[in-house]
Amino acid sequence: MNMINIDPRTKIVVIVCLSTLAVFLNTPGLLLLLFAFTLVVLSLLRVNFLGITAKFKKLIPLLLAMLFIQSAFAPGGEVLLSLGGVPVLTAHGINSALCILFRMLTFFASAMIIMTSNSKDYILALVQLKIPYEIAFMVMVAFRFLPVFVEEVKDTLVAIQLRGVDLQKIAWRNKLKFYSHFFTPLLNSVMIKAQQLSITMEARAFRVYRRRTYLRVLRYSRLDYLVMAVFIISTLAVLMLDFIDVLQVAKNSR
Amino acid sequence: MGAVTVDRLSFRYQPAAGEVLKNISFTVEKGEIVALLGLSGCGKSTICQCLGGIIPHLLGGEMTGRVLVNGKDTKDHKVAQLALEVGLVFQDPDTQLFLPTVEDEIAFAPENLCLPVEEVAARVNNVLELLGINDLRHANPNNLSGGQKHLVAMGAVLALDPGVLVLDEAMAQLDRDAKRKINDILCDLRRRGKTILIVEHDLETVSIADRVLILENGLLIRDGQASGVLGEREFLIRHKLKFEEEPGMDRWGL
Repeated sequence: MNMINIDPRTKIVVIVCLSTLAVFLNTPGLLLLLFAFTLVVLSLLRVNFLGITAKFKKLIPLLLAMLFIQSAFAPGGEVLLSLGGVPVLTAHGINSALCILFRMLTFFASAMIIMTSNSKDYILALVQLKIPYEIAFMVMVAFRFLPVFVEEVKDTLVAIQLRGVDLQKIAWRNKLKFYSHFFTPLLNSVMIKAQQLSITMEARAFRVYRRRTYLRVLRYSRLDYLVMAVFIISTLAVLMLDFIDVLQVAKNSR
Repeated sequence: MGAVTVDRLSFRYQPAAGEVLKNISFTVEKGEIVALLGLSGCGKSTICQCLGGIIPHLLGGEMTGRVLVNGKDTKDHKVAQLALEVGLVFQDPDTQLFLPTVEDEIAFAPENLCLPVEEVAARVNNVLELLGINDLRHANPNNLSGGQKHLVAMGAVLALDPGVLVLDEAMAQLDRDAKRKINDILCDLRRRGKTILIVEHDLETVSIADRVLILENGLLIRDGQASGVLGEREFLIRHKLKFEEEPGMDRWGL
């Protein structure tokens, strides 16, 4: 199945469906299955897995920290580890920690579907979904500015280090002061770039009329209809089963 | 009345600050190439911002006097409306390019004008042809060289088909070959009846100008035919627009 050319609107539907399922499913097994399925979708969209793994690597400490915090603060069930009589790891804690872990991984993975189309395609998608074009462009500009912001952070850090500041050797109490010096020029520089960009857009007649035309128009293919139908129907079915299950549990507990 | 009329224009950014422009008056006729020369900080870019309506509409400050572009008073028209008359190309192409392909970038302005899709496509083709960048049509502007980015930024403005084109140090970062190429394009545009204002501090870049205006500390100190003004060696040296000897030439035996 060649999913690489599917319409960006279909991709938005896929992301919404996957994220919705990630919110409503609440067993580690099902969430793991959902995460695996999301990876399959990514591979069908020819997303670079090495790039994803590199991005996930940076999240590992955060996810591990969440795993421990969640398992410590959600006690219940069999105690697996206790310190001085205080339960630290419980079966219920680990269960909810794994749920959160797989949920977060599914969110991150499904968000990567966004990267498989360019920003102009999403503007067209949003406009054809009847979102006002000013808002669609604002969303696009926000995406455009993420790498600019990262670049500015790197440049500012290099500039500070070139002036002889060794970031590794700064004491924690001084780091706060350092970051106030760091963020002021960073914010200033990003604001200037944002202003220049908005001036450029206006100087190219942006918003001169209420409407605008588009050189390209997005059109759904049969594959788009098929993919949307499969995702929407499956999501609704899973949500319905989940709802029935919740009702059953509530009935049994009465 | 000329294509551009600046009448007793004065401007200061803040009420308490000094005047950046001091009672400036000049006219640019239709089909003329005029070079505006001056050292950094003399007010050249401020004049460009006044011509495009960025001052007074988008940037604060106190402006007195009048600026007319093709008979339209910039005080009475928004920047996006003035964009139909005057095209502004700025120095830094990175803040002017924000769409994923060169084609999208050039189509942006005609799309804003609500032109029929066929007309938008025709304008994109004409501009790509004129600038000789047809092969870059589907390229990402972020991945282009500095010279190519400048051409795309200029193309994005030319697609508006403005009567007046203002280049605010748009060639400052270009090598000689790229400058020559842009000068050839500007001569071609003059033949098509466009009025062009080149803002520069480099004399070599303005060799194609019909007339030269020289600005110093916010005052217009010279307005004359290019052949006359650029030949006044002593005057140019006195106002630091030309070196007595090209620096470094002797050292290399040139």
